Amino acid sequence: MPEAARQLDNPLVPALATVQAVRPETAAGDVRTFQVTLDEGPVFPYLPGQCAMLSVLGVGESMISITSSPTRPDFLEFSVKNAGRVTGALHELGEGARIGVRGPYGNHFPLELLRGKNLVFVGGGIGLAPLRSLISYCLDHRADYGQVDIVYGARSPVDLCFKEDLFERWPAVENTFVHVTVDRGDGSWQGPVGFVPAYVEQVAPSSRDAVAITCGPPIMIKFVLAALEKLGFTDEQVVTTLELKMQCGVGICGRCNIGPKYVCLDGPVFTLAELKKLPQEF
Amino acid sequence: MNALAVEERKAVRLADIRPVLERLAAGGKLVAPVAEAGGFAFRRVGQAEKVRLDFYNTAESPKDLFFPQSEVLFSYDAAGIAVPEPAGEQVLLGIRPCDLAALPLLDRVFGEGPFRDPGYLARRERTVLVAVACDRPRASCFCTSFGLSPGHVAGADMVLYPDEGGYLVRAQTEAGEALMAEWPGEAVAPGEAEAVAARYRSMETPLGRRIRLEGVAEALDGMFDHPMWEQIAARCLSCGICTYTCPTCHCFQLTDEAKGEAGKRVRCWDSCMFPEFTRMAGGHNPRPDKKARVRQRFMHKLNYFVRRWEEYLCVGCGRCVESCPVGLDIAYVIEAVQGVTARA
Repeated sequence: MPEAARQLDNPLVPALATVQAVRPETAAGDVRTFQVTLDEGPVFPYLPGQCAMLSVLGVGESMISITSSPTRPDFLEFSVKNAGRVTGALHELGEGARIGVRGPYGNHFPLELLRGKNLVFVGGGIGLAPLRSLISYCLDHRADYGQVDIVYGARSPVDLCFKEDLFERWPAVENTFVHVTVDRGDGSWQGPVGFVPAYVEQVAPSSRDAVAITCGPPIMIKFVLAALEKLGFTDEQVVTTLELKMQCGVGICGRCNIGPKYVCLDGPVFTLAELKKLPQEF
Repeated sequence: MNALAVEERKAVRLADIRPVLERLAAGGKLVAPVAEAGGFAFRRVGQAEKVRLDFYNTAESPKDLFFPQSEVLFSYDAAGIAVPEPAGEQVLLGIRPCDLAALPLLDRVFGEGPFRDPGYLARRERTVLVAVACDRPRASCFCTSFGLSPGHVAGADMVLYPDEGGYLVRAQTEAGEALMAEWPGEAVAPGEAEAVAARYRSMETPLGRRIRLEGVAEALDGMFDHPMWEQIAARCLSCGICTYTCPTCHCFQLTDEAKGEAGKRVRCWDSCMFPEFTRMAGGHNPRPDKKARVRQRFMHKLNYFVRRWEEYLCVGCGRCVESCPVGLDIAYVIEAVQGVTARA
């Protein structure tokens, strides 16, 4: 069997890829966005919400959500927070660096459920990364969706991710509203101050014909879910993503299961109704 | 694969098995039980006299031959990534019914999910399985609880039945028949071979240890938050030996070993019993205590796997019972679930 074919056969062997650009995402410097192309062949097909395993050869692998949209298929984008060994090593890499990529993994946001609905995105911190793929996708198919509200918060102004999207690209799209808050302001911050869940209640998007999609730190999600319930969203109208330790990404290595569900295969996207049926072990 | 029924396959009697072992050992592909460290282990054997067919169950299962304890997935250097050549052929002689029954469970994991493991599948395909019917069950064995028996030999290419001081040898597949083609021994009538096979199938384990499994998976659906897990986990030392000796456990980790520009990625066995197993960057751990980890192990075997594959992830080999330093017995867990005993 030719070498290349056998590599493709083993799902645990990454494809070589090249970092084409690195963008510092936050003023705080702890999040960077990597634009990546595969060395052989075009970017694999994927849908918003899916993830990929990024390798820094010699260091290891990390599962990272794809933050680009399949509507822009020239490259993959990954926004990575420097949080551990592999992500720390990724942050050392610059343009032209060689990495490994395998994927895409997991399910994706329920595009059929979202079609024709008003969309309420609620993101916190780096949690905007997977939402960004879906937001770009929906805004590139603008006619398929109703009103779009994007509620986003970060700890402080220097922690805001995707500022160009938040303050320029997305608000310029028709019937699309961006609401940004920070936990703590600074001298230059003119916008709202307060935690995301309280801010969601204040923005008070209608639950009528709407689906809310939320992603962020677990503690934020917990209170956002309560806020959405107050606003009349049912468990079927709320979609979120889970993140657990993963090594194989293909449902075998035994880390990311919650009961019989594997986050790497059956997730990371779940409706709140689905989540409530699982053991509370995440 | 051809469709000959087992009953129509070749069977012979071997009063003396040594010439056959010598022939296999000389071929350089033989893996068989040898005496080691006060017990037995499956090892590649070059000299027939090392083979110990009077063995009782090996301390470790032979899953290592298909899912190695440590395996290079690929190596890399400045030029790119290289995948190792797939494994060569081997003859695994002496696999017992319990370990044999574990292989279809591993096949599901590595071969029937949405992603397939080519290394595992190549090793399975290139291994001729010569089972031995179990004439030495141990006190900890409870294979019959899982619908198996000392004579459960489905999936083997050939079976050795200890009988009348020698062996009745019966092929079950084309590969088994091919291996037997040049063996000595007098041919046995199909009826006689089947009678010996049936005798082993009807054997009980020595203590007749049988755990009632009916309804266990269903009961566990509602027992995630049951207080019994705290009690069951209290004795556990988190040593992980149960998962290493288990023929069906298959958790692993991936590790990079680097030297300058070059290196390799290695897959090693890992264990859900280890505290770090699920710990994430940033420190969050969804299974932060022994209760959560012990529950995961038993729930995986008795509920989660059943929900995914409709089979229990246990074959009753008894190794975890034998090896556990604090005597944590999966049978007691099952009985606790059944409400039969409160000893767990």
